[in-house]
Amino acid sequence: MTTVTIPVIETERLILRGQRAEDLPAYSAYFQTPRADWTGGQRNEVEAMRTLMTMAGHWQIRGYGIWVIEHRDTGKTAGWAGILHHLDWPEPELGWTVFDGFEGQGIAYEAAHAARAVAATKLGVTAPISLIRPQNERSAALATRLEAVIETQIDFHDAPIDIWRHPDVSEVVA
Amino acid sequence: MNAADTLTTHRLILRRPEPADFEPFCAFMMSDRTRFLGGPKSRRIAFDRLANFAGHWVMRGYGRYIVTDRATGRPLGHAGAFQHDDTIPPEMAWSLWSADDEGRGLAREAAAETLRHYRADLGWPVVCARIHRDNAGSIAIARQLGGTQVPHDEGDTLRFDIALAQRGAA
Repeated sequence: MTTVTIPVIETERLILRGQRAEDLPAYSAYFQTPRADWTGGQRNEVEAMRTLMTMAGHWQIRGYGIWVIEHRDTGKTAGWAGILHHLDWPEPELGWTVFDGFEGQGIAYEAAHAARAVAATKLGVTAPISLIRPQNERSAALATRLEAVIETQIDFHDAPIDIWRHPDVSEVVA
Repeated sequence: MNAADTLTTHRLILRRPEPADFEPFCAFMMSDRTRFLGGPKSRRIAFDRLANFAGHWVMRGYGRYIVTDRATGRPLGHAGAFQHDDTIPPEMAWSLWSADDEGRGLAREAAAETLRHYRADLGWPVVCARIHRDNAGSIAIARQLGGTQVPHDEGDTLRFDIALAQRGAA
């Protein structure tokens, strides 16, 4: 099998790159907080490692996936952003999460914006959706800032979820 | 040092996972054959699990091989080591995806070849296998591979450790 090389994206404050074992403590800490309820549920360290590896393997199977957000100044693991297409999702989704300590600085916007651009121009994923629970106001605000619009609402895993549609940025010059 | 991408035995070729393995792997995951592995599982979970196999290889440099028929290339199952939990040795998996392929020692042949590689080429000291107490077939393979049961407090799961250090060494 040809191993998919995950492209590295550098922005003003961030490096978006592939998953490493050293990212586990930050991921594990996040997945043991209630915030993880927005992203598939809370889980222990062993399950967090399994999730990190599943994110890494998504690239190998789909050819695109989720990047780890590394904070350039500190070298710390700050979250994730990128494209996921789980088997029971309607389409590829642009997703993002910023860990505790990195919120309120526009990092999620910077990462999601860059990930969306590379997905559209290099990975063939144009105009992805984002699935956001109506109660998740912070993610909805970010989707709005990214110029996504609510297309419809569906019933998903026994609760309503909004399907946001991102603009096609494949022709936009960065 | 990373594990070999491919291993070959008398009857089998073991290789890294590929996207095309999904359908036969999914059929296994959704079947009663995973009843001792927490299954049956949904297609969604099967997809995530195959992604986990592939991602483990990328992050650790080793992982579960897809076991294929050397003559035809048909995927038969998976075997090899993985590690999600750093507090125990790397864990072994060995599963045949279809009951039709049982009874010929294929799972043992695949697992034994991975253990040979881990010992002779990578110098690993030990691996373990966590197996449901009612999974008699898998327990038999663990014992044939040199596994000895060790105390393990995890419900219905037994743990076998397989020492890989060569006989006579230290």
